Amino acid sequence: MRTFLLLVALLSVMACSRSARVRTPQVVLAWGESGHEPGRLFHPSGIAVGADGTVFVADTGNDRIQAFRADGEFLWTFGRSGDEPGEFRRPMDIDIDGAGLLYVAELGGDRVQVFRPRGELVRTIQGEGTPAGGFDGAAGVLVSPSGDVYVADFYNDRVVHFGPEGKYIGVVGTSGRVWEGRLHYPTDVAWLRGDLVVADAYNNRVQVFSPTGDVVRAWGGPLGFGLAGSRHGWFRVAVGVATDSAGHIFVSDFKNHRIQVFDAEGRWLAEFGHQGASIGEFERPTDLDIGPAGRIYVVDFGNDRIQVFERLEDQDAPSAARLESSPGPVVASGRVTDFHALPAELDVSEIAAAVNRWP
Amino acid sequence: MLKHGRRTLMRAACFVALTVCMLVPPASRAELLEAELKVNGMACPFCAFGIEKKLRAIEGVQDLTVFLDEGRIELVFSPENGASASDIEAAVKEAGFKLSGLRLEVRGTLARDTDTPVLDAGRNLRFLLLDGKNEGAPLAGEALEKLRASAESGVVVVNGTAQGKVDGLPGLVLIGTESSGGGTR
Repeated sequence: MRTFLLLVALLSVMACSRSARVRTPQVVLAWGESGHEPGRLFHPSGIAVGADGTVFVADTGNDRIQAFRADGEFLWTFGRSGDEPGEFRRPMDIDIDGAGLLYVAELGGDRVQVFRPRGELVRTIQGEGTPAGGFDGAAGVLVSPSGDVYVADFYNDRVVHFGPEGKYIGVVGTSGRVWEGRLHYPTDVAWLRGDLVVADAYNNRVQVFSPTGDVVRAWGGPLGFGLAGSRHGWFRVAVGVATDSAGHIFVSDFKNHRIQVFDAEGRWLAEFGHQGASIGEFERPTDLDIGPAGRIYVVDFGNDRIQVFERLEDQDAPSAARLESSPGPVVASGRVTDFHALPAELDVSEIAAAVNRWP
Repeated sequence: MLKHGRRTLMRAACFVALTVCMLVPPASRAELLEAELKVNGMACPFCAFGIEKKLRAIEGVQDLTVFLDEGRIELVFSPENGASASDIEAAVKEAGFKLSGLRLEVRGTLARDTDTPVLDAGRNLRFLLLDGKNEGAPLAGEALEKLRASAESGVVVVNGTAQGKVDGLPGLVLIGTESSGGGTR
């Protein structure tokens, strides 16, 4: 028996050795100051990065959209508080379609407005045709590659599906807790190879649905039941989701002040960030998006700023101290590497010691 | 002669109308004027702006400011609004939260024919005024007389912290008073 256990331990060590190191993203850029003047941010909540690298931020507290260059330089802003077309009542999330149009979801306005990049209104999706007569808090928006629009309908506990012209198609999810398929205040949606990744925020979990509404998988807490916590793969309010071309899923774990990274099957890969105001730290991150070069753009809500992360080789990672002392945005270069599955956590020495204690 | 009679009749009618206007007290402009809410756990934008959304739907809310990091919301009501404290409580509850504190500025009429300090804010909105310096007991004695003396034509504006029901009426622990009267806010 002792020999068997030692063999198991040895094989586990070998398995660990074959797994590659995890490349945790490092912060390469940060910008933003709290305020109301153009270029400043006040309670920002949403972000979308265009194909040309332009960064659009839902500057929620200021009821406007702001555009920045990929290096953080302010470009332009549009919108003001109000209920009229082109005005905003708490824009929470943005997505960009294949033609470069911006889709802005408004929690207070109960609508999704579609704009050209400079702010010219194209059309509005009010939720006509949906059961229960429209949105009750449009919190998140996704435009699929085919142009279909999915809206996280916060107080209605569902994701509403529209065709490219805004015609109602169907609903994903039902209201509730614990069981798969139930949503409780969903806040964001992302696209993953034909499926929908939903930030089931106040169920403290992520759920993946097929476009027809079947649950593909759910995780967060034990067995995906959504118990809040801080362990790997657990959440305390999963607010934002984003995916990259490799099928990685990034989740902003709001009250844990971190970003967690998973593979397409929901297996935990990495996390970065912790609570704080220093560069690389977060104070309640909300939304995130992946830029053209694979960079991760994160809305650091409580610090009124945007932080950009890149998966670098260790020797290329800039020091946080250098970033903080630099005036203005700082850019560091580095190769983007891939994530690898974490080895199972196993302390072989403890097992060996336990085995040796046996009579 | 007929013309002279008609003129006299018109003068008499004007005199009567003017007398009636002087004798009848001005219409009571009674309503909620301002409110300050405290809500625990309002630290996320969906929470704070979701509560804001529900409050904005209350008829009569004219202006609203969210102090997200302080967990506080200030409301200003339009003149002649019909909002009530229970409307505010219901809106916060609909957003999934519970009030941890509510301060109101209310214009109303103090009942003169009773010692019970009831503030009638119109449209079935009434408060029992409580004395914060006397462990929340109903306002009485010198404090009540002082309040009555500050009223103009029986109308007074008070600031108070909303309490649960006391003797069947929502309680309002008095913090202070403003200059009264029918001025439009």
